[in-house]
Amino acid sequence: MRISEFRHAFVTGGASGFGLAIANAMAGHGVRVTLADVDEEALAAVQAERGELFRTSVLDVRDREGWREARARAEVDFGPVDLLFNNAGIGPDGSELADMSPESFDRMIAINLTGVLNGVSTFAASLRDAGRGHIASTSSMSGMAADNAGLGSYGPAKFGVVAMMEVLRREMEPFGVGVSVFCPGTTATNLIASTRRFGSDRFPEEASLLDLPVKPEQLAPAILRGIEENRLYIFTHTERRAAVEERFAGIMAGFDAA
Amino acid sequence: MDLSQAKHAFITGGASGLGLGIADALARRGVAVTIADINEDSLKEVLATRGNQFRGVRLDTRDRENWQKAKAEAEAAFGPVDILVNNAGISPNGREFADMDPESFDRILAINLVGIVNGIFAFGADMRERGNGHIVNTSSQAGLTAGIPGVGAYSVAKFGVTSLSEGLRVEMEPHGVGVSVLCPGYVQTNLGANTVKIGGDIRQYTAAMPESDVTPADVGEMVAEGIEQNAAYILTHKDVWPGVEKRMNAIKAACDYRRNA
Ligand SMILES: NC(=O)c1ccc[n+]([C@@H]2O[C@H](COP(=O)([O-])OP(=O)(O)OC[C@H]3O[C@@H](n4cnc5c(N)ncnc54)[C@H](O)[C@@H]3O)[C@@H](O)[C@H]2O)c1
Ligand SMILES: NC(=O)c1ccc[n+]([C@@H]2O[C@H](COP(=O)([O-])OP(=O)(O)OC[C@H]3O[C@@H](n4cnc5c(N)ncnc54)[C@H](O)[C@@H]3O)[C@@H](O)[C@H]2O)c1
Repeated sequence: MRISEFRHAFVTGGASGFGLAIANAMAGHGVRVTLADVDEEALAAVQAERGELFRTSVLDVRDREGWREARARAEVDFGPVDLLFNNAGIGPDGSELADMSPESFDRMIAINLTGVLNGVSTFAASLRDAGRGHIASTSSMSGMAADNAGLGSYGPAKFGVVAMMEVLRREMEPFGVGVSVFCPGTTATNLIASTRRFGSDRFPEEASLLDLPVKPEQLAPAILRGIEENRLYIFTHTERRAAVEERFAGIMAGFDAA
Repeated sequence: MDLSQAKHAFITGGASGLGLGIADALARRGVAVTIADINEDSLKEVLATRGNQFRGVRLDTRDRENWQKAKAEAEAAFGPVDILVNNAGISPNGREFADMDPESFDRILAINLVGIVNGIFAFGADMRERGNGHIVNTSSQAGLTAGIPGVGAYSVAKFGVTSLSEGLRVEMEPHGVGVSVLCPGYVQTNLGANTVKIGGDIRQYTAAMPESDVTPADVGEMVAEGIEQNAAYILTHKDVWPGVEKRMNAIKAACDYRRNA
């Protein structure tokens, strides 16, 4: 489906970073966009600046009832959603699994993994009935290879998102609905600040990603093209290819012993 | 880990299927075994036919407080646990995502993924401090490849377990604690019936389990060897590889597509 053929995109985590970059790029093609985010202030700032393009919706992706309401409100304004972009998420806070508070693990899974399922539950049946549309979700290169310490629950959540999109793609294919999973590497966004505010009791380092050379706006065209071409995997940071290959080599060695 | 030095294994879902196969294989090597299971009837049945090298403890792996109690009870009897096998799990629900009751997704995630990390929360720090131990997590072939309609929630949880195990292995390696992930292909067990017993939502799936000539006892032997060698992946069915290879090639091609863009 060409981007300009989409009528209404619903983007979670839309007030910042990747979500906002994707929303801006979609709007550039004339798509109406609902930005859903838990950060009310950030939403208000975007609304004040670019209110003519977007509707905003305060939504915590963990809140299933909230999803139903947000959808109803969004569709009153802009009509049926035909592009769902599950992008909201928090980052790892550096805890190792053996030290992590169970609540912290639960929170990561609830936001980064079940939050995606909640979006799928809210929209997939309607898209299937409509026989057109697209569902994309943001995972990470950590959904492909999570080979460093301190990723804790982030790897499981992001691997889970990849698996969800791989299966969903098969399930939706016969009905003309496309499915993609976006797996970025580190990019200049507010992820650390957002994690500190909404996602961690351990406060990750004061460091910020914002000085990184790769900006989300630069990646938006590749993301949109991935949707347009209905590609399952959308990669933007191919320097992680080696880690992915190494992981598969490890699995292959396991099969030699089977 | 040298199994002749191992004293005590704690195995969840140990009263049936793969867990029991693993318990028997370790017991044969002289390890005392605590089998932890939600199903008391199966626990009794198994204990009636095993010697005093076996103990049973009732545990729902979702219940974090219960983990502490089960651990205390087990260690009072057999001493510190040096092998943890996080194996309890339920089957796919047979539902496509668009039709899935979110609670059914939650249940599969709670048992098949969070139930496993709960074991790590209970035992991981102790093993690290002692600088000795091994953790096996049961994932599945569905934790390596995904794409079967109706197996979505299960694949999500199992991909999570695979990743969890890979990350944990990196974190535990400097402390002398081994970590393996077990990714079996199809094995005849009571998975379907046991899933129904604990209130799992299950459609079409049990009947569809294909025949397999790998038995739970075979898997037990493979796991014992995997622990001995600190294998990262314990794989039971060679015929799973073509699917993994296909997925790997699709991912590489998608990386190259971007690189050439
Ligand atoms: N930036 C990176 O380096 C990087 C790398 C890989 C993956 N990702 C993923 O990209 C996605 C977007 O993050 P980003 O990097 O743009 O960071 P960001 O912090 O700039 O944007 C994330 C947005 O999600 C929102 N959010 C957090 N929890 C929420 C919840 N429960 N409900 C609704 N909204 C919520 C935040 O308020 C924020 O506006 C995340 O899923 C993240 O895991 C980021
Ligand atoms: N049988 C297969 O083909 C196959 C293939 C791949 C992976 N697996 C995985 O192997 C593991 C073992 O399954 P199995 O095939 O031996 O099935 P099984 O039903 O024979 O054994 C599983 C045991 O786990 C117990 N259990 C379930 N939920 C529990 C909970 N919340 N707390 C404590 N105990 C619980 C059950 O009572 C049962 O005794 C599961 O994680 C399953 O997903 C099985």
